[in-house]
Amino acid sequence: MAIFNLKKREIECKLVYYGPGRCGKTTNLEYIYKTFKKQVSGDMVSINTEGDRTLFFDFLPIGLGKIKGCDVRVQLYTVPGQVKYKSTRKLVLKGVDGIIFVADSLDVRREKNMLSLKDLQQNLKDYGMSIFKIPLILQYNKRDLGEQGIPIMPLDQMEKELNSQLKAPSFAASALSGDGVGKTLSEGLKLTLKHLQKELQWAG
Amino acid sequence: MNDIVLSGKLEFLELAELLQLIGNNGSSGVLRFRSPHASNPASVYIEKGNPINASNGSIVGLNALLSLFGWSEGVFEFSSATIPVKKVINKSRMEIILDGLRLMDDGKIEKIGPQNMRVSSSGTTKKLDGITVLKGPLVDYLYIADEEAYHDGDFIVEEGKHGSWMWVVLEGIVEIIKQTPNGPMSIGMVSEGSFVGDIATFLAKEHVRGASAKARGTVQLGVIDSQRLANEFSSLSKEFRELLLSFDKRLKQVSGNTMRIRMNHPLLADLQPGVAPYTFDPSLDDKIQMIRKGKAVVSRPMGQDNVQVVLAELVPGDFMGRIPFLDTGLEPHDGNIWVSEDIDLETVDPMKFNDEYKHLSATFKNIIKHISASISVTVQTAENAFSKDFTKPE
Repeated sequence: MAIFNLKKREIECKLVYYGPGRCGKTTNLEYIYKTFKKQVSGDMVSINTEGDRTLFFDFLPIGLGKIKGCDVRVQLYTVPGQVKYKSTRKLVLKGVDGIIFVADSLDVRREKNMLSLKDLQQNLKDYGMSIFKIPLILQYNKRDLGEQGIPIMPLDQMEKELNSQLKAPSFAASALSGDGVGKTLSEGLKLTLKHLQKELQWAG
Repeated sequence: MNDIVLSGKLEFLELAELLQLIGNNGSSGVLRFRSPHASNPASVYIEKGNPINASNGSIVGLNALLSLFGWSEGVFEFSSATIPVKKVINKSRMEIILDGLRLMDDGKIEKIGPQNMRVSSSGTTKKLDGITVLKGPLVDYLYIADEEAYHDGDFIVEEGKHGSWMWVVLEGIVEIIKQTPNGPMSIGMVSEGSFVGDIATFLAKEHVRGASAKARGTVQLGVIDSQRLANEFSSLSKEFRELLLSFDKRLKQVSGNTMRIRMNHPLLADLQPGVAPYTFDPSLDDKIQMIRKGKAVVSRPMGQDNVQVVLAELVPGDFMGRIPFLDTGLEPHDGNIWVSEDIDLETVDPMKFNDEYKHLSATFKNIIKHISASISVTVQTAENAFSKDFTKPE
């Protein structure tokens, strides 16, 4: 549920980066913050949560047009993976408009990806949303590690294991170098805004 | 000047949401709070949507604002005004909100609100020797056949001995102890309304005690009429009996695995042979699953690295899933299931047990509540022990 700010003639929506601990959610957001500095309004908020960090900043997408004459402002968030951070998770996921699920390509993180995706499904359900209906993008991160000889899963295996039911758009990425980060974000934004527009047409 | 433009209940709109709402609106004014659980009101001063100062009792500034995240019940009022208050809070709105919620989840902000058994990290529940003392529901005197008194250090039951009595604690604290290779280990503390003994106790004539129970201080116990309980149990449907026994057994397994964790030998789910993660079918989310064939392992992520630690192992005849009246705080939401390749599950609708549950005697219902509360408290103990003692070598 996006928020309409009539005073500012702005639509504010939420895009959340979700995924297992240390999969590169924060690296994605840090890269976006650094690279698209002009489109960022305000500072990046960084909260140290156990095992991970929670990041937040406002982002103004360019070139995606207005909705009903309003500018669009996007809040980008990461969610702490640990079970105990349920208050933060609740705040972040409440009214989320789109999700980018960052999966870790490392062989040893295979199960963590699956469990985190399952966790996402349950959390969304708790707020009355369905993982099958919400705009969702999958990102297979850390592809660069393969070149260093670290065992990673082939893309088609990840696609099969994580995305065979969801059938969401998916991208390979190496967030540390920025490869695929922009692409994932812009596809996520496009999908989210399209979804919003469709919802508004129904309403209007 | 004192123009109240927004008011309501914190139960409906929490501080985090309220700050976002006023923030998005860019308003200036004072946000006042009152709670039946706090001795004094509190205020947050907001300028153009951003908190600039706050007071709660004797604390002021950022710490006062953060402490208010712990208020789960109360009323708020926002008066729109320009305020002559010094700006002492310089953090951004979202940073305060995210940090406040993090501190609360880390147990660093005191929660003020109605008592909740699950909220043990905030220090509202009593602890003894670092173990949460489990308090049970209101005692039902109808099934109490006799009363007994024990003195500090007296053993009520001893592990390995036979006996078919079951007690309910009327007063005082009872320590549950198990023998380990490292000597006796305390696995739980129970007080008023909790039970000593389990469902298996009154079913078998020569039941062997799985743990010892020792009085901590003076203890008053009610002896439960086992015959009546056994009769009631035998009148239940076969499936319902199996369900209860499955969770009775689950409690023992969770206790056993908690001891392993405390002795620094946790079983890790991903090291269990022949099991793979299992996902609950979302369309069957309100159903439970009975194992017909194969085995399942129940785990929960613990510690910094979210290591999946085994808490129980389920075999044919056992149940898994969320049962409305038997909430263990594990699967499907806070725990994970791993299954063997040959798993064969039967979907069961827990609603069909609801009617049987409703007709149970108060004592029997209390025993079921005791089982589910014991499981969730023991899981918490396991979690605490794990994050304290054990970090998985990478």
